[in-house]
Amino acid sequence: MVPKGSIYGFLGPNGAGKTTTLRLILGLLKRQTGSINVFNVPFDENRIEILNQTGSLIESPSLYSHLTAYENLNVLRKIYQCPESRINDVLELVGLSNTGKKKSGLFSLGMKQRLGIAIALLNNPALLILDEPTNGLDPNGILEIRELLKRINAESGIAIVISSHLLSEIEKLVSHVGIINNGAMLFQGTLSDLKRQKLQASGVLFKTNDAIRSQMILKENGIDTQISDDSLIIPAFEPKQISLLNRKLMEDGIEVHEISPINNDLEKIFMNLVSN
Amino acid sequence: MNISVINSLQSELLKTRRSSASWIITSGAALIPVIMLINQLIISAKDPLQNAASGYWVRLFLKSWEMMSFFLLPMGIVLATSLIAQIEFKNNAWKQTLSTPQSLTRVFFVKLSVIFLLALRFFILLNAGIFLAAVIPSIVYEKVNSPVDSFPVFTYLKANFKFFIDCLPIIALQFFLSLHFKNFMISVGVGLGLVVASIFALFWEYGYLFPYSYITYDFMRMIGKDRIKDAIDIHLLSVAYFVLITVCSYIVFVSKSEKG
Repeated sequence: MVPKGSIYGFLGPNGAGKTTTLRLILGLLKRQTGSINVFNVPFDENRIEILNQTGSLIESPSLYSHLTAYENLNVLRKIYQCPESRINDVLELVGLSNTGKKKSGLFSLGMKQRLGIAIALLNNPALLILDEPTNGLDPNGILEIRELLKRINAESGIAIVISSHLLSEIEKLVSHVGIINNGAMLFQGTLSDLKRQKLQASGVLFKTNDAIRSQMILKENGIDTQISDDSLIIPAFEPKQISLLNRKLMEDGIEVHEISPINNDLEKIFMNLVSN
Repeated sequence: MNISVINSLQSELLKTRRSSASWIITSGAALIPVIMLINQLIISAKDPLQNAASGYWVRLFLKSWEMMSFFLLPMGIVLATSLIAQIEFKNNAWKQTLSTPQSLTRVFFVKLSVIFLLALRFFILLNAGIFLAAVIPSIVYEKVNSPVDSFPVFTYLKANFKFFIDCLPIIALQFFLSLHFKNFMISVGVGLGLVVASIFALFWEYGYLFPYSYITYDFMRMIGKDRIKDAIDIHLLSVAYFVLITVCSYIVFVSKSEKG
């Protein structure tokens, strides 16, 4: 479920089924079972109306290399029947308004990606589907695309579905996340839901001279712990509570050798989800 | 006609701008007239009255089509038709075309229409070239007059229309192949093989069943060296083959499970 106006990160390792799902949504693959609803209506019965409000960039951009950026956009403008001024608008939006008569086949990879996004935006869609749009781009190019998408979403309120196999890459961009592996959805929700999972998966490690006795003491104080490699793992607490627990253990004669945070970042949670 | 169908057609035509298919059509249509022009310039220098003879235009037309009908036109169609679908494959653009708000039926028939329009362009350019090849010598040499006979528009139109009908099965089969095989060499290879085979088919009793030979059969009928019985209407056969192959091609196109 992609909420209106959201930026939805569609994540999964290579071969998880991201492109297949996106192709199904666009009708480029015949579905075998189930149904697909876009804008709350079934795709099969409303294919043309749905595609009229959808822009897409699946894998590498589809550009006619013998045509200029303007001509490439004009090819699609004829179909979408949008005003000619829209071509200059989207070219300006993606920073390609000065490419003139240069054929798109001579563009750099970053320029091609940006032209691909311009094509996807030409019909002023309500839904933008981008399949790994930063593939093959250098860090600067990735940053440029990210900023561009943020701006488009903020200015036009377009819902954006962006697939990636790297959570770190889109973490700063998305409001919602869906994680897929082996064709099954493992997680779906807001980025804050995922972050909550992160918090739950985080903890604090206590290294003491007697892990079993330490566990018993903490249990008496209502705290569930786990023992791993002679260390105690407790849920993430506020620093104040941690120091209270430390004092309690010391008062009961336990020597505390080390207290350190266990940081499960989003990438780790993502990896845990897909590897489970 | 719905306005958006015209827009779809315009969109497809834009894709052919400066494309290889477009170049092949233009250069293919210019090739024979250029040869004819050189030939006419040489002949006119020796015999300034040669274009004063009656039936000059028809002779010039048949001379031009002698080379065109056996190999050049069928090969040109094979290449141009294959290159039209190749525009999408080469640019990885099928997925974009098929995710635009158009029905698959429209995409199929608009693409086919573009091939027809390119063929039409070819015939117009070729005939204009033949006309110029006949007229230019009289501009170059003072002693050479313009052809005495008036330009037989209707005869040319009729003959061109017949040749166009003969092209239909080749267009249909090449379109079918080029839509379904990403590798350009398959459609061109099969097409080239069938063009060569069509020459051998001329010597076969049932050669009229082989649609790639129809242009040559028609030409031979025009010059009075008919190789098939009068009762056999190759134009009817040509249309029948075209319809049959196009229907099959359309069914395969729309029922593909993976598009783009």
